[in-house]
Amino acid sequence: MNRDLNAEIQCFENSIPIKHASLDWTKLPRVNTHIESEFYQAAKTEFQLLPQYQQLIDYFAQSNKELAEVAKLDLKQYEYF
Amino acid sequence: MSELFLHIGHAKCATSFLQRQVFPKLNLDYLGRHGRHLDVDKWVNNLTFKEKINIPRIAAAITVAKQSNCLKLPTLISHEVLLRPYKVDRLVSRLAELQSCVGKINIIISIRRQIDLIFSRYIHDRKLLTYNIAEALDFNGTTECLYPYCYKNMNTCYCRQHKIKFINIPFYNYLILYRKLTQHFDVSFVVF
Repeated sequence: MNRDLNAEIQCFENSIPIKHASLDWTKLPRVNTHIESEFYQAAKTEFQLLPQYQQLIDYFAQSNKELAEVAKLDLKQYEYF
Repeated sequence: MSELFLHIGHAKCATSFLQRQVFPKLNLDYLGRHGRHLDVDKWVNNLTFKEKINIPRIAAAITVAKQSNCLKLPTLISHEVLLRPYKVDRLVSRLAELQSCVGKINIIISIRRQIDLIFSRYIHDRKLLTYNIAEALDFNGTTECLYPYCYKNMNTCYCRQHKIKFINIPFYNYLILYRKLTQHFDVSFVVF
C-alpha cells in the first residue's frame, strides 16, 4: 500500500481546530497502522472463522433492530447497522 | 448548575480521539479525561469501582469545578471508565443519584458495530494476556472484570487468575444498556 503515513500523521496532529460539532469527518485522515499488521489480520481471520462469529452478528443485529424501534433511531444514520 | 452532559463510553469507540481532538474545542466547559480537571479520574473511579462512595460529595466537587470556570456554558464530562463490564446496574443507580444532586444529566454513549468493538477490545487486551478469542466469548455475561484495577487487587481478578480476559457479550448489547439507563433517565436524555 503506497501511503505516506508520516504525512498523514502530521496532517492528523495539525488538524484544524473544531469550532462546531458539524465537523466534516470525511476530511480527517485515518491513522490506523496497526490494522495492517500481520498479527491483527491473522487474529481477525481467526475471529471471522469462529462458529460463534455469525451467532454474534445475528444476536446484535436483532438487538440493534429492537433498539432502533425502542429508541426511535434512524438506522440510515448508522452505516454499520 | 448549567446543563451537564456525561459521555460514559463505550471504550474502543474513538473516545480518546474525541477527548483529545473534539471535546476541548467545542463551545462548552469540558472537564473530562484529557481535559482540564484532573480530579475527574478520581470521581469516575469511585463511581465505577468503589464499594462505598459519597455521591453528594462528588456532585459538590463537580459543581465547584464548574464554578471555577465558565458558569454559563454547558458542562461535558467524558470518561469511558464509567462504562465497564462491572456492576453496570450499580453504576446506573449511582448516576441517577448523582442526577438528583446536580440536576438533569444528559447521557451520551459512543457506539460502533459490536462485532468490531469486541474484536478491538480483544486486540487491546492481548497486550496483557495471551489467549484465544473463542475461549473468551462469555455469551452469558457471567464474568465481570475490575480491569484496570486487577493490579491493585493482587491479581485476584478473574481474568488474571484464569489468564483470560472474558468478553461479556451482553455488556455490548446496546438495547440492554438503553433499557437500564431509561429506567432512571428520561429517554430524550439518553443519546447514542
